[in-house]
Amino acid sequence: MTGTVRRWLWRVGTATCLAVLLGTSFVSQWRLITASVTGSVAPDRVSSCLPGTAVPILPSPHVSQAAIASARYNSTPPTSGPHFPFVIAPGIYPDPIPDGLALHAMEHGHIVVHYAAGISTPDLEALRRLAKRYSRDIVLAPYPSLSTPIVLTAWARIDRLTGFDESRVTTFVQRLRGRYNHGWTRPDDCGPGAGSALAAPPVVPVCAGSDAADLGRIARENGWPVGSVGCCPECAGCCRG
Amino acid sequence: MPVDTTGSPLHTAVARLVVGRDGGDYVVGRPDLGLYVVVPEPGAVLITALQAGAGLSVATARASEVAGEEVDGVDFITGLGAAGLFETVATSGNPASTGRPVRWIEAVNPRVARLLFGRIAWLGYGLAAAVVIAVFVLRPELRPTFEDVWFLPDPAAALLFFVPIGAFLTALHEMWHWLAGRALGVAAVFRVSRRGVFLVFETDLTQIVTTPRRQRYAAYVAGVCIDCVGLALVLTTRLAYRQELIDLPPVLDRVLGVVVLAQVTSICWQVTAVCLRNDGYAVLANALGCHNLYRATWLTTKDRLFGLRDAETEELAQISDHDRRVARWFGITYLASVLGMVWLALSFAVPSLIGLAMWTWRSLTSAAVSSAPFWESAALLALLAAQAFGPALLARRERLARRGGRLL
Repeated sequence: MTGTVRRWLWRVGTATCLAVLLGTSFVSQWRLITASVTGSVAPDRVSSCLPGTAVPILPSPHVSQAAIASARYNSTPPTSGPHFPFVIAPGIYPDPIPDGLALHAMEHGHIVVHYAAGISTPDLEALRRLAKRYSRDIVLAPYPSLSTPIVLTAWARIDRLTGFDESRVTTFVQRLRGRYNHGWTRPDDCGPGAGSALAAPPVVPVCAGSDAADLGRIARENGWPVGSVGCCPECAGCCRG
Repeated sequence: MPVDTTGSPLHTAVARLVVGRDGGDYVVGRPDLGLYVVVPEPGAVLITALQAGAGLSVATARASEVAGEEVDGVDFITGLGAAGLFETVATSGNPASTGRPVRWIEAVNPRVARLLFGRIAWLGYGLAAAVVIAVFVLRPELRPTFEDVWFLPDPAAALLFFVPIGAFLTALHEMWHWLAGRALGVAAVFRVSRRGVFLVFETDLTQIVTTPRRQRYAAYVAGVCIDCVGLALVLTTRLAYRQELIDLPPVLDRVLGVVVLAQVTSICWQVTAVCLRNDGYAVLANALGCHNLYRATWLTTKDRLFGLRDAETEELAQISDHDRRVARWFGITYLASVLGMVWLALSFAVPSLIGLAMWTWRSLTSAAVSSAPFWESAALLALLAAQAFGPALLARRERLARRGGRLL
């Protein structure tokens, strides 16, 4: 074997090893890297079997602190929409954190637990204990403008609590943590049809023939006014308004 | 200082020198002065011959044999004198008497330093490593992620706050190398330098070549040992906080989180970055009995892939057969090393840096010049630029100083 042939064999072998191994490394992180630049895009999910209520996903680009002042969200606190390019570490924050930061935490699969200014001390202590127990999952911060004492948020999901309910908070955290990380990470397993995408205007399927109680439940889960949901003969489901 | 190149004065002066191999060259130095010069092999042969009691003419003859041509021993000794290696010092244990600045580490008595590397100390280091592994296995939520960098809502404040923390941790790592060297009885030099494109603190343990190989491991792994101790303490504190055994301000818990991230990154770096002559490289090269494995491996790999220039071929030929034999397969560890560093970068550095870059870019292009985000971004950009270009500037300064004879 000549020196030139041997050299080419070494080159091809080395390049192949590097390409395969480095390529594998990059592919595994590709979604995180690209999403870190652009923000994330994913279809809506209703998933009525999950805790809380689905909230339609807004376009969610990464924007500057100046640009976020003009952002409009579809819930308070928001569960998707324009947010900062950097994230915040999970943990307990004694002061309010900007929506743009909380949203990025949700985009990474974290649960953001907001509490109103007037929350009782025992409830706050209980929330802090839970934040310590789920220290890799929860961002706990005050949100002074809340109308309910405690609001749990995950990406495109919200639950409002009138007081601390350990079971409800724990369920929300356990079922929704890591469900989204720059995209849906797993199926919701809510049964046939329950995971279908929300359309705009939102349409909730599989309720043909439902009684008034079902329609009321659907309205509550989606944060719509009770009575605004009715059967939709055209689509054999039910729709809002 | 002129030196008497005859008889007893010369032997007295030469006896103070240490000679150590450093790659293809040799380092001749005065530990008490913290002064070292690089000399070719014939120079090292000449000095060791003088230290063995040979006269200057005999030592010169031996050096000439190695060089393959006549060398001028008197001129060489005069050069060493001009470099300051024969400066008179009262004793090596009292560097203050030279009028040079006292390096505080030189004041650490080896007996004191040995306490940090005795049997009990090693037991402590082992225990710390076990605690770290146990916590990471049993409590995954305490493993670090790149998000830990953003431990404050303001990214600029988080990064600026982390700079001194990172510097302290790095300095502590290097200080333990330093103390380990001191425990061995060798002097060490602490300096700011670069490794690749990274600004680093380094401990010069050149003199360690004068100690038996099996004793050198302590100095090579000392930095990782103290990293493990720090990590174990921080993890234990965070665990106790989560178990409601102690109370901490939440922000302190997050600061400890970024310390965990920094220490884990540091340890992983020392394990993976073998191709950049890190601590792991030193351990491997020592275990394999090599003197210049780093250059031998690069040159062997380059020869296989692209061929060598004449000077490089000559350099490789001068490296020992043993090192060249090891270098034939050691390139595999370099490949693994590159992959390890890529994994490290993708897992911890790249996601944070992309977020930071996007924020900086958007703030600088869309925020008003009078706004705080604009100036925060500008400050961060300056910090990142300093971290990126600082090492290059340092390297250039060192190169110019070396050419100008101000750095040996």
